[in-house]
Amino acid sequence: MVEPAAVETHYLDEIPLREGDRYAVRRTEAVRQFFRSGGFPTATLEDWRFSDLDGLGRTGYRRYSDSPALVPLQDEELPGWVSGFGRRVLLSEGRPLNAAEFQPGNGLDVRDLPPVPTAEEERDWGFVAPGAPPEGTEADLDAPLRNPLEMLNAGLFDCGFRVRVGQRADAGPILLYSLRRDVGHPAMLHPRSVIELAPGSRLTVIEAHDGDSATAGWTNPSTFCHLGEDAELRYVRVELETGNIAHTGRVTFHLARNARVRSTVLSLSGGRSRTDTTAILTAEGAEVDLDGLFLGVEQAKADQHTLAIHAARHTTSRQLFKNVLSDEASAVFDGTVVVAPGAIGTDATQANRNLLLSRKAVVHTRPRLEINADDVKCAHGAAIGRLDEDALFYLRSRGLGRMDSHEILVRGFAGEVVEKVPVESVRALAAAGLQRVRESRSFAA
Amino acid sequence: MPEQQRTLGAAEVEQLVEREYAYGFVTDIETERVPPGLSEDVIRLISEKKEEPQWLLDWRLKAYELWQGMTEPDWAKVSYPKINYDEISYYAAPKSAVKDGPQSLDDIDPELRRTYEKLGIPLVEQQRLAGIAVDAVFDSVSVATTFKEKLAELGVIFCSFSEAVKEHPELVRKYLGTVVPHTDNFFASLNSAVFSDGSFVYVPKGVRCPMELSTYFRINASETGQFERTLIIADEGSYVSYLEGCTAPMRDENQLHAAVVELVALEDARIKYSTVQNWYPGDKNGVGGIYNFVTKRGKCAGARSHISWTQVETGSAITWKYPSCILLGDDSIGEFYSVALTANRQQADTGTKMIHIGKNTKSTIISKGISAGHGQNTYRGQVKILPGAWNARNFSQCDSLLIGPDSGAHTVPYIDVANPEAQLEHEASTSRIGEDQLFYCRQRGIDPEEAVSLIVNGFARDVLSELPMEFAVEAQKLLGVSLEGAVG
Repeated sequence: MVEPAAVETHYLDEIPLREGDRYAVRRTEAVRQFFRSGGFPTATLEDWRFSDLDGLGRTGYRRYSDSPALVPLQDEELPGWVSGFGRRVLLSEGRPLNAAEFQPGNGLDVRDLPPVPTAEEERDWGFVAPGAPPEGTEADLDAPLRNPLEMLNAGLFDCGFRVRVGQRADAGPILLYSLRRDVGHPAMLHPRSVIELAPGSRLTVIEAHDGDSATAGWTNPSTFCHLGEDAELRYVRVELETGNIAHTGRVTFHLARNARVRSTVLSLSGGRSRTDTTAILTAEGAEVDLDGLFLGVEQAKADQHTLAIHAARHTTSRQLFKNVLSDEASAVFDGTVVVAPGAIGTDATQANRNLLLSRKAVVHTRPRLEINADDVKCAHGAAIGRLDEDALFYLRSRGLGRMDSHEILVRGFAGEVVEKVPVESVRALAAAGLQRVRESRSFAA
Repeated sequence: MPEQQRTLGAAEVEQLVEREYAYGFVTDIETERVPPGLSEDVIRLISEKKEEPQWLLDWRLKAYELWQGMTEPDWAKVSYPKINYDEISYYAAPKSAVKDGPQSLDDIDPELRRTYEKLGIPLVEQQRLAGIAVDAVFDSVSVATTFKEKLAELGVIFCSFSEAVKEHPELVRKYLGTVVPHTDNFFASLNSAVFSDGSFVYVPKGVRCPMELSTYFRINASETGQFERTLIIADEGSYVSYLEGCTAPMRDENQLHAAVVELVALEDARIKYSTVQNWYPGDKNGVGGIYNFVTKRGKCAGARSHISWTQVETGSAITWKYPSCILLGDDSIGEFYSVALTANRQQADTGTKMIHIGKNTKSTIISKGISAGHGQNTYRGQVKILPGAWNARNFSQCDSLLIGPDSGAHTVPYIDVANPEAQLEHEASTSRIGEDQLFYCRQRGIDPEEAVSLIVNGFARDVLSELPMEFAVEAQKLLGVSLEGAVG
């Protein structure tokens, strides 16, 4: 543990400084800014009520690169679904494994993070806000950059990928996989990735965070996706970390005219996670679907924050977040739809549905709407309940056992999100998560 | 041509913005007031003027001490210049009313009586609407309570708060601060320290109060704050319906109204509390108006008790108000029905809290927000289901209607569930008055103003239908007046 007074110095010391890094000053400034604006958020802040990170700050995490115990990852250590994945780039404890030999094709190019981004790359790396809102509207486009953990990532990042798809290219699925192992000391990872889709291009990305650790671990990734006109992105985020790993991640989508994003966040981790998904619809015709599914067993805790900013006229957002909670699992959904002044023709929906399977499961939900234009269509809903007794009775009266009938209903509940995932092997991960729910202590108890 | 219609609409929203406040007159009456500023001495003075017992003064001072260390809440989606609490006069009373207090209704200053007549409050019993007993609060003191004798026959106590302190100290002492403690929040603590008057109701066991009880609040003196405190206790198996109305004169400076309302419903008791709030909202540029920062909370203490809040909020420059229910008793029920209308530069951040503690507790929330002009309307509500609240049920519906491109509607529900048997649904929608709806009405010869009023009243109907008849009529008229000349 680090003394509260020494936390700032600790993280300033952890800034990865490379020779000739023009970013040195900037990194230090980002970390300082983080501490100036309050440091590790605590539960006294409305936005972090259910994700108190004070303890995280004082754990004294160090970067992996300092770890002498690190041994190179062997291929056999990769889970089957990863080694079987067609195009993939891997990070092991933040070290790129194969990005260098990635063969560009189908208009797709993947590189690992350059040690020193060029001046032109600043915007691409997400350090600079996308600029002023479109004419006739007022929107706060900097909101995602004010996330405190984003500031910390901007100071400490030392790994990540840059994915680019050329104009009108149709690139198949690519997997960005990060695995971390226990190195015996509290270790942290701050990956920073940028996904860029040129106008008219299409891409499917699976971003997965995996690993197990008995020693305290912390993963704090930032991902920025920039979509050009008419571009289409299918984004799936899979959180698989278990054991004593805390995850605080962010993904931000910037959408140009007629761009389209379909995003799914699968929280399958066994520990604590907080994910902030932000979509900024900056031009007419932009459309985004934000889906999420959390399958919680034991003491798992998932805090899902979403923000859809309608910064231009005639944009659409749809959110669907579902939680299945067994044992002592707890879930938070905090979703906001912001319609900027002038953003008429906005169509926004937001739904959060929660299934409580245990008497100790807890859910907190905050579906918010902030609407500042009159000609809009916005609706949201939240529902919390347990399995429908009538449906259970129906199944059991047809000869299904108690476990099976429960499972069928839970599977159906989760299916609405899972079925939309475009990759079979990723759907199988969700199925494994459902299996863990079935095997949990409180299931059908 | 949608484009054309929008410009037309915007022009007519201008008209809407220019509505007049009908209750903006000032009554020229001599008032006794303490100089502006807050200190222990002021609190002692208020307490002394009201001839209060020591325990109440101590309670006030405790609250004041605490308040000094508190900070004004800033989480609500409202913005206003900082309030200087030293510029407010914490006690103002019409001189003639204070002297000895009216012995009978005939003793009331005729000027005061004329004021209440202007407001349409039937102070004089002969002119009353049958079946409503009224307690009227003018600035800081309660002026008159009608029908007292008739109610007394049934054992119902309905009087001003100061009178209750004198006549029924044991009841006041037993229940005061049990629902909204003096430590509760910034404005409630301030109220606890300086509250001047208010209404007190006690309905004994098994009594169904035969008439609607009503309080009318009016702020008359300038640079004063009004801090009334209402306490309603419904004993086992009783029923009471309580109405509250508010107005204030037009002034360019903002005036603070920080009231506290506490409701206690014992076993099988039922309290229905209705408010039509029409404080002065300020002019079209947002100058003046009342800051309405109110803490209202009911405790369903006994099994099968039932508390129902209905509010129509059309006035005030800023509304900050969350009438809540603590559902402690098993099988208790909490309800919240609200219409909040903001026009011009009005801002409202209002909603409710439903805290489910007992088994089989149920709550319903219906909130309708209407924003016009530059009005900002926020629904902020919490539904909390604690681990022991087996089989709890909640349904919430929050709809917003937007009139004009500069208006804003925000929905911020907080839902916390820690019991798997809870069943909970929250729904919200936002829309503006549809061109097709207006077209339909106009086609049938209804002029645009009337059409808007019709649509708004239809939108708010679920709530208006919960109001007692006389209030429903008033509320409907208020919504109509507020939207006069709206979108065409």
